[in-house]
Amino acid sequence: MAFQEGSQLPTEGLEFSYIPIDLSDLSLINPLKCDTTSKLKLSNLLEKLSNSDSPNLVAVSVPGAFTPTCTENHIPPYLENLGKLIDKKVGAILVLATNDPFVVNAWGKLLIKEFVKINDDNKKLPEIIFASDGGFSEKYGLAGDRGGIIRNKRYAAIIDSRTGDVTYLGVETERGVDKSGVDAVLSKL
Amino acid sequence: MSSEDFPTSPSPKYIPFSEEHESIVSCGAPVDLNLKSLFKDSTIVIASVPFAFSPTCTEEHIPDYIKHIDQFKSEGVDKIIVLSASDPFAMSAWGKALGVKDPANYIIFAHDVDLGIAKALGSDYIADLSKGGLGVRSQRYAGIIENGEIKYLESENELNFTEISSAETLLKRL
Repeated sequence: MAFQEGSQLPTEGLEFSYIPIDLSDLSLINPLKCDTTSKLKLSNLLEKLSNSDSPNLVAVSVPGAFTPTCTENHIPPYLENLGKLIDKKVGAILVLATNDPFVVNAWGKLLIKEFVKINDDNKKLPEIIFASDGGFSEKYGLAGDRGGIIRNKRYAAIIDSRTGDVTYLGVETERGVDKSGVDAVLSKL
Repeated sequence: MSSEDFPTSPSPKYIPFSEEHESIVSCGAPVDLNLKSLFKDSTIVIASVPFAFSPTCTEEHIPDYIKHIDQFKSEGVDKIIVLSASDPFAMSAWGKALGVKDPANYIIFAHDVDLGIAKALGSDYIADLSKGGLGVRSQRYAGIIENGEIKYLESENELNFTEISSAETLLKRL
């Protein structure tokens, strides 16, 4: 099976190492409090979403945590536009980076603290999951050699949890953020 | 190990701290750390950790060194280099997250490229965590390098943090 637009997401055996981030009180998120890692089984996440009223999963992949483009331009607009993503029935945002789960988790917590605004309208926030890619993207041709290290390409995908279909896959072919940015994703939701 | 030279190649990569990129979500550009020139006529402390941002490294090991910076300075240590398999962006952010914001870069948070330094030191300095999905990392180890020569170098077992790599042990050996 391939990971491509219009096909089902290949979820068999697909799991990611991550450390859950509790969004119920943003002020309690501490990037220097390190926990042990858990496994995220993607089929379980999709099943949970398919039974909710926010069935869309947005997956965003970046070459590296704490790198300039990813940290300054790519992920922050997603976190600043959670309200719009909620309105488009996004139940979870999965950020995948090449790094190990400790680094991805610390990066995620810092970005959430910096860019997620206090939720005034009391809308239920989507799950925000920062996970270590662990070879998934490479398996589907969505990673490449960057200076001796295999790093994820920058891309974003929308998965409809009710069908399991990849309804959008935008892969960047040049530097910068265009097809994988939050505006492109919102226009496809 | 003693009276041996500490490996200087491949050059680790790091992002020098600068006030321009003081914020943890602002990223600088990685450069090579030339160990050969750094070691010349200097006393350097090396501390290697398996992971940036992991519990032991972040809560115990490196904070222990940071707490003792003044003692290291007064014992004549010119610089402390923290090494890990984590990439230079993660290492730089981790340094800032630990509160190290020093334009003089007394503590350098650097990436051991391809684990070349750890591999040159030998298999005791490598920790293979592939089974747990965490890849191949360096062991937790600590050393004192004087003019390029190893004066003290010991590796922890099982990634623990004990007196082997504590700041106090290093200070005693200086």
